[in-house]
Amino acid sequence: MMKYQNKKITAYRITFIAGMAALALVFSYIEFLIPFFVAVPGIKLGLANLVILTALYKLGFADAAFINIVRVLAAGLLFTGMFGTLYSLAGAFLSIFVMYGLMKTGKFSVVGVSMAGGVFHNLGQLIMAALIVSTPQVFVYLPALMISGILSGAVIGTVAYAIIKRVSFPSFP
Amino acid sequence: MLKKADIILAAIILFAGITASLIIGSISPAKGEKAVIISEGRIFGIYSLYENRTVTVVSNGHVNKILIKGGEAGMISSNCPGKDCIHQGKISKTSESIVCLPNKLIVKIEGKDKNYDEISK
Repeated sequence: MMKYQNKKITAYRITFIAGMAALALVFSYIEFLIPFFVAVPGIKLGLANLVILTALYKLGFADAAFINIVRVLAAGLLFTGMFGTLYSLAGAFLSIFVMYGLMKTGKFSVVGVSMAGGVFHNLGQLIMAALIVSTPQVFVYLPALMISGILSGAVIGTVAYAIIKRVSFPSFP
Repeated sequence: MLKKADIILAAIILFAGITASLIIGSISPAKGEKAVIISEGRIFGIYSLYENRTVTVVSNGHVNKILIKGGEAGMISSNCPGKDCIHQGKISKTSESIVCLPNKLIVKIEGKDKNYDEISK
């Protein structure tokens, strides 16, 4: 039996993670259908981060990162196109590492971790956008994206807190 | 459930964001290279800011004269009623523009690079 991070890769675990990824994809789709804020490109509620946060706390870093990458690739290629996918991928990588790091310190609640995740997702996207179009001016969006990241992160974090507290998850052997 | 560290974190992020935007604001917008003249929604012409010339745009009875000189572009005459475009002065930096609404004329400055708005969605 293969092992990863001292956990067996079982059919149950794979199926469960795939289900989580599908749920995250549905949330991405909802956000694609209903843009919550339209003034600045990139501002969104980050519903999918609800799934990622829950996975991070309940299943661990590897599973959460995997769910996030699957979600970003699928949602990006389905809804936003190649550039959007690259932006999201950079944001997803940065935010999952930052969230994991903050979670590990134990000093922050789910809300704080979620806020940082939202902000760094936006920051990652901006850095990627600046690299691709080689124009540092895209950073004029930074303050708006940071404030929106904090606000949406706080909302998502509060909901994630309720989910993490109440819903029991399988602990994979 | 909200911890003190969360609020401190939010404050640090906000502070960093505002500081970064101030720094970015002071270095950009960049000095422009070209003046793009758009008349009635169509590009009328693109001119280097460093070649002195006067461009006269005539369309549907609207007459505008644009002076390009020494890295700057400005509207010097217009037959529109308000003359707001003339009062907008000279422009030289990317993202700056002169708009003459009655005559449906826009003069904007572009840099060397393509405008990022074109591919980011």
